[in-house]
Amino acid sequence: MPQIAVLLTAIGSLIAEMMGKPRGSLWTLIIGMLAATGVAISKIGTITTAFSNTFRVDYLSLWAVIILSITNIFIAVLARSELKNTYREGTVYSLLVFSLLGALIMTGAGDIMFVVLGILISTLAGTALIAYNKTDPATEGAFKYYIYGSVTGAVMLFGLTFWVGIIGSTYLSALNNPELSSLAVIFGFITLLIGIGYAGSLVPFHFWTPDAFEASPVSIAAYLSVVPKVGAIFALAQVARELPVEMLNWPLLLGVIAVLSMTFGNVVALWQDNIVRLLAYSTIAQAGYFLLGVVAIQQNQLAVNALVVFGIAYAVMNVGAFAIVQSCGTQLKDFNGWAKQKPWQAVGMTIFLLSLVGVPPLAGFAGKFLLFGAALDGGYTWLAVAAIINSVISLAVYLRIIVPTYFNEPKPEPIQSTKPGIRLVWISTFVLTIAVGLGLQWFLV
Amino acid sequence: MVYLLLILLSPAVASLWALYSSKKAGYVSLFGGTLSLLASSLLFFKVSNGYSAAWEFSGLPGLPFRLDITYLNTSLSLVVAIVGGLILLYAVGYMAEEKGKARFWSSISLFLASMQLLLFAGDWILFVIAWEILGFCSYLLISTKYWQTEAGEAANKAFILNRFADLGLYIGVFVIILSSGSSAIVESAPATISQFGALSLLFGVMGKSAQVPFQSWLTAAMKGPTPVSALLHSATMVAAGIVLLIKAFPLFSPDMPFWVGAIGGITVLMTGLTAIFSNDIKKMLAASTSSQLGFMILAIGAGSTGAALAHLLAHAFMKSSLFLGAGIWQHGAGSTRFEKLAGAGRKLKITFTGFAISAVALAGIPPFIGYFSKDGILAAGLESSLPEWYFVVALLGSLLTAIYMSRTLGILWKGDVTDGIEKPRGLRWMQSGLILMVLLVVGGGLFLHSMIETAGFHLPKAKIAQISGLVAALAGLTVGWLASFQKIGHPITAYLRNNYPIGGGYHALVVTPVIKLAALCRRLDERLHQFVLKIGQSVLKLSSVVDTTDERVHESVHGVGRIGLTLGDWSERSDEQGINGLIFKIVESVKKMGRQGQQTQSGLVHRELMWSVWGMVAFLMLMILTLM
Repeated sequence: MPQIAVLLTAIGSLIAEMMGKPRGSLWTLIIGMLAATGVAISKIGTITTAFSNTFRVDYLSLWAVIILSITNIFIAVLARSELKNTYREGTVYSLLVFSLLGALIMTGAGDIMFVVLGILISTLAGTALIAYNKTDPATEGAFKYYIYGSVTGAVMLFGLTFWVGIIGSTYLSALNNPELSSLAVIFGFITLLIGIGYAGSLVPFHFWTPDAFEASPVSIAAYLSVVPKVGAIFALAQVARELPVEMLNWPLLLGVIAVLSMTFGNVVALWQDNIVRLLAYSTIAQAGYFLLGVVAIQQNQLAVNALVVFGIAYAVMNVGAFAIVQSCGTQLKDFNGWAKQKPWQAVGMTIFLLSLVGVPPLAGFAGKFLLFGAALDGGYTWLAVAAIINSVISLAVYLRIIVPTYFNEPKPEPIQSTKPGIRLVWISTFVLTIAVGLGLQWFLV
Repeated sequence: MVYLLLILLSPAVASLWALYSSKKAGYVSLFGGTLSLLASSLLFFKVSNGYSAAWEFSGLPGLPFRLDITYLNTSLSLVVAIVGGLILLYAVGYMAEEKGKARFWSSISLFLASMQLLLFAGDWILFVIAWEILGFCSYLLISTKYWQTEAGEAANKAFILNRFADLGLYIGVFVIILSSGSSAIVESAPATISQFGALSLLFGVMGKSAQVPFQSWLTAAMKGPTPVSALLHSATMVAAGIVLLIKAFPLFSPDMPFWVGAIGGITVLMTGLTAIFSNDIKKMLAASTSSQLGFMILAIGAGSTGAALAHLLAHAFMKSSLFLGAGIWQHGAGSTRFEKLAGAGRKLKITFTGFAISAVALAGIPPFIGYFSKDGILAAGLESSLPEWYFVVALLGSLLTAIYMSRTLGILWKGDVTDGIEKPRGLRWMQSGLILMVLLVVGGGLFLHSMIETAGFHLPKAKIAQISGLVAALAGLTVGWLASFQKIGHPITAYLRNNYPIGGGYHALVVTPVIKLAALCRRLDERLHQFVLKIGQSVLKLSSVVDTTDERVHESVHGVGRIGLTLGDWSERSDEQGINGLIFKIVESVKKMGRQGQQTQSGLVHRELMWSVWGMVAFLMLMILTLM
C-alpha cells in the first residue's frame, strides 16, 4: 500500500524535524515519496479494495499516488530553496506529506467517511502551511482557509448524517440502489459536493483561493494548487461512479459547476496584477476543465484516462509556472523584460502558460484533448463547447504575462542568479510538459 | 539500415554543425559528404550482390513513411554522392574568398541530405517532403550573396515559379493516394491514375526540371555560386523531376506518354536555340541543362525510362564538370560573360582540357559517357510509336547540343586573350574536383549499360541511331567551331537568348500580378484586422457591462446578506433550533469574523460565504426541479 509508505514518511520527517535536522526531513520526504511511487507503479493494473471495502486500490488511486508523490518532491525542493534556514523549516516537509496523505485517502475513497477524513486531514495540514510566514496577511489567509473549511465541513457532515441514516451504510457502492429516496440522495450529494468543492476550489466554494495563495509562500501556493485539488476531483470521480443518473441528474449539476468555474476563473483572472492571484483564479478555471472528465465518468473509460492525463499535465505545468514565479517575482511588473534577463526561463514560462491554455503539442493539450473528447463522447456537447470557448478566453489571461515578458523594458535592478533547486524543478517540469504532450499517443496505446 | 542512416544523416548533421563553426564549415561539410559517399558506395556493393530492403515508419495515420533500398535508388544515390562529394571538394577552393560561408555550407549539406531522402523515399508523402526541402535549399543557395539585390530577385523568381508548379505535384500525389488508397511508391501499379492526376504530376516536373515554359528560373538561378549551379541546377535537384517521372511512370495511362514527349521535345529545341545564342557561359550551360533534361523527358515519352535514366546519370557527370570548369574561369576573369572569357582557354590549359572533354562528351562523341546515353535516346525514339517525331527531334537536339558546345569551345580557345585573366586562389582544390569528375566522364561509359540493365530497365541500341547521332554530333561540332560568333545583336536572337519573353516575360506575367495580389491580400488583411479589432472592442464593452452588473449583483447580495443578518439576530433571539438556526448562527459568527477581517484587509468573508450558501441552495433547487 503506497499510502502506508506515505504515512511512514510523514512520521519519519516529523521525527527528523524534532531532532532539528530539516535536511534529513527533506531527504526522508524524497526517499519516501519515491518509495510510494515505486510501490504504486508496481501495482498498476490491480483493482482491489482494502480495509473491508472502504478503500479502493484502482487505476485512479494508483495514478494519483504517482502524480501527487512526484509533485510533492518538486514542491519540497521549491520550499527548500524558498524557506531554507527559516524557523520550523522541517515542519513544512512533514506537513506536506500529511496533507498529501489526506489527498490520497480521498482519491481511493470507497466509503463516505474516507472522503470526509481525507478532506479534513488535507485541510488541517494546509492551514498550517499557509500560515507559515506568521505575518498578518498569512494569518488572514490561513484563517479564511480554515473558516471556509470548517463551515463547508460542517455542512457536509450535517448532510451526510442524513444520508447515512437513510441509506444505512457508509459505502459508496451502497448508493447504487434504486429503492432509495431521490430527495435524500440529492441532499447528501449536494452537501458532499460542498466539501469537495471547497477542497477543489470549485465555484462557488472557491472564495478562499486567491487570498490563501497570495498570503502563503509561493511553493505552498503551488502545493495548494495541485495536491488537494487533484485529490478532491479524483474523490468526486469515485463518488460519481456510483451515483445512478436516474435518481438525480448529477452530470447536469457538475456541468453547470464546471462552466461556472471555468468562466469565473478565466474572466476574473483577466483583471489581476498579482501573478499568484492570477494563477489562483487560473486553477479555479482548470478545476472546471477537470470536471468534464468526472461528468463523463460513467459513459466511457476514456474519461478515466482523461482525468489521469490531465492530472499529470496539470501538475507539471502548474508547478513549473509557480517555480518560475518564485524565481522572478509575484507581481506582473516583475515580468517586464524578463526575456532579456533570463531568456531560458522566459521560454519555460511561455511553454507552461501555453500548456495551461492547451496549445498543441504540450501536455495541457493532451489532457484537454482527452477531456473534451470524453465530454463529447458522453454526449455533453454543450459542455465541451463552453470549455473550448473558455480555453480561448484563457489565452488572453496568460498572454498578459507572456507579452510583457518579451516586449517591455526590464527593470534596472541587477539580475540575481537562480537557485539550483528552482532550476532543477522548472527544467524537469519543462521536459515533462513537452514529453507528456508528445507521449500522448503512447499513453493511449 | 546503418548505411542508409549514415547516407541520410551525415550531411544533415554536417549542415547543423556548419552553422556553428563558420570558419571550418567547409571541412565539416566535406567530411559529411565524404562519409555519405562512403556509406553510399558500401550500400551499392551490397545491393549489387542482390540485397534489397524496405522499412516502414509510422507517419500519417494509415499512410506510413517508407524507405526503400532498391538497385535503382542506390545507384542514383551513389551518383548524387559522388557528384556532391566532388563538388564539395571543389567548393572548398571556390568559396575560399567568398562571403556567406556558413549559410552556403549549411544549406548545401542540407541539400545533399534531402536529395538522398528523395531518392530513397518509398512513399509519396516523404517524397513531397524531400522535394520541398530541395526547393527551400535552392532558394537559400541562389541567394547566397543575399546582399545583392539581383541574387535575391533570382531566388524569389526560382522559388515562385517552382512553388507554382509544385501545386501540380500536390494534386498529383492526392490523386494517387485517393485512387490507390496507399501512398507507397510501387514498381508495378495495379491500376493507372486519371489523366488529370498524371498531367498534374507532369506540371510539377516541368517546374522542377525547368521545362518550357518554366525554363527561365534556371537561367536566373545562375546568380548563385557556381558549385551550387553545378550540383543543384544541373546534376541533381533539377533531375528530381526526372526521378519523379521514372517512379510515377507505371501509374500513367497509355495516352500520357504523348504529352510527356511533347513537353520534352519542345524544350529540347527551344532551349537548345537559347543556348546557341547565349552571351554568358553559365547562362549557356543553364539553357543546355533544360535542353538535356528535355532529352530525358522525351525518352520517357518515347517509352524508354531506361534511356532517360542513362542520360540522367551521364548528364550529371558531364554537366557538373562543365560547370566546375566555368567556375574556375569565373574566378580567373571575374565574370562569366563570353566577351571577358575570350581566349581564356589558352591561359588555363588543364581546365580547358577537362572542359573540352566534357563538352565533346555532351555532344555525343565516343568513347565518352555521353555517347552511350544519347545513343540510347535516339534508339528509344526509333523504337517508339511515333519514330518520325521522336527520332527527328532527338537528332535535331543533338545537332544543337554539338553546335553550342563547340561554339563555346571556339570562343574560349580562339578569342583574343584579354588581360585580367589570372590564376585564381584555391585553384588546386578546384582543379582536383574537376579532374576527378572528368575521369568519370571518360570512363563511366563502360559501366553505364550494365548499371541500367541491373536496375531492371532496358537501354535500347540501334545501328541507325549510332551512325546518325555521330554524324549529327560531328556536323554540329564543325558548324559551332567555324561560327564561334561572340556577339549577335539581332532582335530575334535576343528574343531567343532571353528565354522567349512572351507577353513581357516573367516580370510582366508573374511579378506584377503577384505584387497586385499581395496588395489585395494586404487590403483584405487590414479589413479583417479591423473587423477583429471591432470584435475585440465589443467584447471589452460586453465585459465592462458584465463588470457593472457584477457590482450591482454584489450590492444586491450585500443587501440580501444584511437582511439575512437581521433575520439571524431575530432567530437567535427566538432561539430557534434546526437547519435555519444553524445557517443563521454561521452567518452571525461570520459577521463577527468579517468585522475583525475588515481591520486587516477586505473583510469579504461573510459575503463570500453567503455566495457559497446561495450556490448550495441554487444547486439544491436545480436538482429538485430536474426531479419533477
